[in-house]
Amino acid sequence: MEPKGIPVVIALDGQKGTELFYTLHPQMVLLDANLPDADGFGLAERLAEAGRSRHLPLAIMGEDDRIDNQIRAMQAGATDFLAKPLNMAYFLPYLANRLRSQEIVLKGTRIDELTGAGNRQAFDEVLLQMTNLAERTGKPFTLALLDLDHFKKINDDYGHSQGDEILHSFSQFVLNLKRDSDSFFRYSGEEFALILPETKPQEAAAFIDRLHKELSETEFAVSAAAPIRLTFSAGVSEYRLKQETIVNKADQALYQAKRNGRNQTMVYQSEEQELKRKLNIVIVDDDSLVRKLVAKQFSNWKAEEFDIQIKEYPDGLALVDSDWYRPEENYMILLDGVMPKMDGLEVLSHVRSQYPHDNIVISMLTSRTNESDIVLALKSGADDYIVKPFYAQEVVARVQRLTQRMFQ
Amino acid sequence: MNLTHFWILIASLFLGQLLLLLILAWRKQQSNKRESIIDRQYKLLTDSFSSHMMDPSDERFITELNASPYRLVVLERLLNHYVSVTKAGADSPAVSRLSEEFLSERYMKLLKRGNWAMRMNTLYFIEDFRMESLVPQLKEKLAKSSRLDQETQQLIRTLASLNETMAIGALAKYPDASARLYIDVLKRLDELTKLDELDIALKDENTNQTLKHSAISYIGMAGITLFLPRIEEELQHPEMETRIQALKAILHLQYMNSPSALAPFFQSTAWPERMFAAQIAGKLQLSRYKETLGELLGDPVWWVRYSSAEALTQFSEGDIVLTHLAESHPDRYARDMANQWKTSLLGSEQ
Amino acid sequence: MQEIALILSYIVIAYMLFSSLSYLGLFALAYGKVKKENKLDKRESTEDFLRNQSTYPVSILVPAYNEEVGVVSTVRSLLALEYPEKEIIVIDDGSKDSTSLRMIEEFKMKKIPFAVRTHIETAEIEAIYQSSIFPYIRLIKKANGGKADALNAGVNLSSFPYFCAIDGDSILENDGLLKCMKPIIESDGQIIVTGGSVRIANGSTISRSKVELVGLPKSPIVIMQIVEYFRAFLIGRLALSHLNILLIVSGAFGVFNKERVIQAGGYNKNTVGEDMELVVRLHRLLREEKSKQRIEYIPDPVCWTEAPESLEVLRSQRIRWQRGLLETLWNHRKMMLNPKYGSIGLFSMPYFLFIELLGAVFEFIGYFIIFGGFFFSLVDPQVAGVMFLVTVFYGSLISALAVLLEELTLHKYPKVSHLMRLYFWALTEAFWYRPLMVLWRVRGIIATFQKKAHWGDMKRKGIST
Repeated sequence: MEPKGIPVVIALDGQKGTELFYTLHPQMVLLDANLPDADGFGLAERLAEAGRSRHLPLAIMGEDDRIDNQIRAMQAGATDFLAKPLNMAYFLPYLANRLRSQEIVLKGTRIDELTGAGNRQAFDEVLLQMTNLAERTGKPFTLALLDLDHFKKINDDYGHSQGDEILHSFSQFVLNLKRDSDSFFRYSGEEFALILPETKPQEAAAFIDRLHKELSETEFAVSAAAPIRLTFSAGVSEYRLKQETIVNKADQALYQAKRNGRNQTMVYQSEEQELKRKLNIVIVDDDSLVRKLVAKQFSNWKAEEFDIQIKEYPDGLALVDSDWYRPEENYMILLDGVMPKMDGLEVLSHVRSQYPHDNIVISMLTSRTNESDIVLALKSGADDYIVKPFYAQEVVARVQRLTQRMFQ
Repeated sequence: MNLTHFWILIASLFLGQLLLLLILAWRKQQSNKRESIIDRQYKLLTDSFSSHMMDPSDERFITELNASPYRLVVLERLLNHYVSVTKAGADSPAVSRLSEEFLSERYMKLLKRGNWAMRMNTLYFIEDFRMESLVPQLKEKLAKSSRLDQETQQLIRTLASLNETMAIGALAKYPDASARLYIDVLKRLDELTKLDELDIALKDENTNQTLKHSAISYIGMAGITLFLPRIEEELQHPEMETRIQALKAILHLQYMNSPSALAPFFQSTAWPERMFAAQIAGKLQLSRYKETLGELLGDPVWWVRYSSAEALTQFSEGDIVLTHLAESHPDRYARDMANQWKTSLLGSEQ
Repeated sequence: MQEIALILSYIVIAYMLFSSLSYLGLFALAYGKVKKENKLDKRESTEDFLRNQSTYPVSILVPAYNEEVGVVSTVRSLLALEYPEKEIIVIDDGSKDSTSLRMIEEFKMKKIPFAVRTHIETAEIEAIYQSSIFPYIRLIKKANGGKADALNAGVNLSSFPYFCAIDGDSILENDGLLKCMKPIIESDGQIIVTGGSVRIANGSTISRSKVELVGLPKSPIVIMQIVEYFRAFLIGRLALSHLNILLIVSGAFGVFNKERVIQAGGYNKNTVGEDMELVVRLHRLLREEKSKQRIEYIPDPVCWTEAPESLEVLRSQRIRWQRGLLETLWNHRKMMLNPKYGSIGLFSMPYFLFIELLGAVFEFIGYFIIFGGFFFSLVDPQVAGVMFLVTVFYGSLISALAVLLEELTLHKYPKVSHLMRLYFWALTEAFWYRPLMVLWRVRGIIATFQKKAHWGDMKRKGIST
């Protein structure tokens, strides 16, 4: 698929697959009926349920293509059953069809079905309308970004489907309390957006603090456990004329709220309050030209949401021996597979065993193209696998995609 | 035997050696000096080079390169390294522009006058940088060569990489050209030309059997499923070698439109046909042949027994079938083989 | 007595002149090929294979006996090898030190059950381990049975059609395997064995398995061994390969066609020169089958090995080599001067007998006569003088020439001072190093008749810094 321009992320088992599903929100899922750690049909049922709101195409692939299995797949909610081995001549057009029709369907909807809030598409439209309106009439508006605290833990403790339930309940909670003129959207994952027309940021903050208070008195039921309480952090920013960065500012304010200890609201203050998050791009390769080429390509990446710093290491040992890690920063490590002093795979295992996963994304960038090498790297904790020779642009595009989830 | 004569002989040999030593030492010093300058230049230019490759309007590299006393060598090394690590390298307009501008003249000279190693290197570089302006020179050179030696082979490969289909015709002139060379040529042609050439190679009018076999085997290696029906047709071909190549390709393509066409091969008198049929049955999990595989486990040829057992392990209940056959198969060798694969199934699980 | 001594002197002088000339002749044969290919861009000519599906997968066998110092860095350098598909099998031949333990710890190895197909009988296999970081690294722990037996066990476990054997104290360069496999692939399997040249690692900077800087060691003993390698590899083996009569694939590095090796019966456990013996046996097999297949030597792929630094270890190594040579020639004496075996029988076998094996005896007599001539008037001082000059010519000047020829063609040592030092040490060869070697080689011949096979105990200090 990759040569056809469709980015693919591979998970070797059900657990990793579920994790990637919830972090990357893929447009399509291909699932093997036989997984090492789970029953493919059971997993399909859960994923199909979770993906229903975005009309997720989900194909189950199986060696055993008897009609019973095909029926089971349909009952689980899959859209298709593909017999293994795959007929590649059929597979690619099939894939293109599914993706195209999903795109068309998604364009038609504006409601996020899981939570009942507006979806991202609707958010973009409303934001555009509001800015146009503000430009013409001079009426300001305020944007608030709301992010549930420690949501990942809820997913981990109670499972992703309970997590979805919580998202739904929280959304309903806000929808009930907001004014009629305010619009509420699911921005991404567990992040929500509130657009408050003709509202000053201080007024917005006051409203959000009311939400904080009400929320602290509300219990949310989770199956087979005591009800839990939720908190969220919020960042608020006012729209001013000729400014296109309102979302980023709200996001920065949100980030500061998180850093200040969560469960609070921050209003974006002014230009000098630059508290951007930091993304370190670490290139470990013994080939200096490769390092230069990749680094140059990254230097063109101007991200609004965070600062990018590029670091180069000539080999794995140089990275491991250096004092490279700061817990509050984010890392994207590009690792050469074959290095003489310390093999890329060993660096990978080392980083994965010594440092947290959340803020470190690792991709191999290697000339080892064997299937077994790829599987091995993914098993050892790599998030992606880029093969040499590479397209420098492609490397950057993939990295942008992978790092998104750290900044949601 | 006179001692003095020997003295003179040894002394003069020694002096000769000393002279040679001095010359070599001087030469070494010169080449070390040159190498270290080139190396320094190379490192110095890496930075502006990578900028230039990303954004050709950044002329800093050109200026720096022109100032370098060894610009051709440095550029050659930079470009060569660049095309080996990036995918865009070979089709990059910047690579062909730089190479055409600076290197084509030098390469033209080297092709004519360089020594063997230099000519070979030049052919490699022309291929890597896709220097189309040199095609006429290459063709001229090819017309002059009469033996399929290493140089001619590389010449043909280079032409193929510049998408010259005459490379196939050039190979055909040599009856001893191996299938590997044809495959080398086929894989270098660009996508569309390649499909046309494969199509021609598979046609019945094509009497060049080596070309046909290489086309079939290349289709398998590259996984071009478009040709699957044509490959399946070749299973009926009267010549065994063609059928075997077709079986191999199907094994690689991992698909068959009509698996029933496989049936006669299990009874073939040639063991490679039986072996590949068994391998395909396993790979594609054609359960209709499961029983046949059980029978082939008692085949007189070791490879066929081996492949049948391996094929059986591919089925989901393969271990049960093998355990059963390990006890009940009438043939002793078959029981051994089943036993061995039964245990290997154990061992492969980690 | 003097009569006999005189006749002997003439024989020895004639012998030395003759073999000097044959050295020069052989080099002249090799010169063209070395010179022609030296400037070839090695990267370009192997690049194609790196991404090629038609390369054959290779099993790498590392026999190890008491190699706890070097084994891990050897395996590490093998990991960095550029080759599309490979597996690494370390065979711990009943080591008394913690060779296995070091491997198990370093690569997180776990015991696996595995059905080994016994092509060749070996001593008992105790356990098989597999790395959980790199599943293609495996370790066989077996009862001691000698190097040949260890290699045979590796052949049994290997799953690929070609294997290469590399000593536990050696380091292979990144593209070494690719270069060695290139002729095999290009000949569509017609070449069944390739041997690569070995270089001495002492003096070069090797940090965590990568050769970073090529240099010369301080110890004259090691410098002399480097000169010796030049002489042997550049002059002897290259030319022999050109004529398809290569007998030795150095124990430090070679790639073999597994099927052929199994057909020939694997490594011979009863000789200390198992590598050479196997190659001779394969030659014999090919000739008896009238096969067109060949064995080739490549000057280029480089494997680095640690040369002994103490006279003690060097002595036992040389005695062992000489025994191996003699045993092999004796086992295959049927081939000697037998036209049925073509150039191997008519040229190669006699070459190894007269130049490599009996050379020591002739030279021994030569030194004896010089000594006797000058101090005890055993022969006419005039004759002793000629003998002396011829010995210097044969021992020093030819070696010095080898140094110059290396510089002319391959020039692997980077500095001018390296060249100078190598050259001047080479000149001293006839006066101290050569007599020592001659003495030990003669001892080796004698030792063969008091058979006792064991791995030479070599004190390793570890190749990596």
